[in-house]
Amino acid sequence: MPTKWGMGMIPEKFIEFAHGPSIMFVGSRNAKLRPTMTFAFGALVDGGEATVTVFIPEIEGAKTFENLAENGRTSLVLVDAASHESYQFKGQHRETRPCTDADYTVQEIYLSKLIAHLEPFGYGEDLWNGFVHRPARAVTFAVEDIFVQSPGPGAGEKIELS
Amino acid sequence: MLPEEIKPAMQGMVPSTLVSCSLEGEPNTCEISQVWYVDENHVALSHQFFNKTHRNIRANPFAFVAVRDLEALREWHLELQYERSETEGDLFDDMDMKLEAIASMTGMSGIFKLLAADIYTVLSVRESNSRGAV
Repeated sequence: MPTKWGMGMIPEKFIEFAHGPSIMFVGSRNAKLRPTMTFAFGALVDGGEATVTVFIPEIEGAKTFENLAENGRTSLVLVDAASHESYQFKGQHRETRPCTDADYTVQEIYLSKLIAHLEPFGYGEDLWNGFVHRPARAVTFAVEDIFVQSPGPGAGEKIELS
Repeated sequence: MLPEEIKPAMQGMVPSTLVSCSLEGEPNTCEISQVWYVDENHVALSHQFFNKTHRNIRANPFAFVAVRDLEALREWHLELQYERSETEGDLFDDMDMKLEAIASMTGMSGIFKLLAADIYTVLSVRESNSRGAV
């Protein structure tokens, strides 16, 4: 069933992946088609509406916020650093707003999962708690496409939204 | 332009993140195994597959890459412009050998195959302040 943005719903597997301990990067570009990227820490997926909200720290987010306000094209990559499983969500920016206490709670839960997941590989608390996570903005975009991004020849395969 | 301190972030110890953009304005973000230091004004990226990044870069030569030194907990942001590709020579051979080593270490031997060493001019470089270091 199409969402109010006219897209299909996000399959459950990808909702779970986005809510899991994956490393998150948000790509965008400016009016001159020069790209940039920043970290996001935590995501909330509305599968039915096919939207994803990610929490981007303001300390490195300025260009991304500017790009998304200017043209809205959004690329979110989620990487499980332990297994190399990775997906890219592409879509159109809908809203940027300051994070609420509820958003920061989701961010804290995300960080605890990420640290627990990557601690056995030596990438635990020292690495992830060293980032300046706050203040952050909640950036919501409507997902139009999801692509497999795991390394290998299958990278780039498009996932059908249900 | 590239500072000496950036070299540990270009050893392929952890993946780097590359963003390209199509002429239609669609950004594409992906992880790459290594960014090679060529000289203080150039880096090289491995061209392994005829994928979206490859198509984007041939259409729009501007790219962005983040490289990381997890020992020193530093990240660097580079704005790049594609210049040329090399399919033989010392740089190509060095990249091919290291790529195979990375593939072996990550259990992906046989998946990675170097087609070309893509040389980029570094337009700008700065250290990320995402850890509040700057």
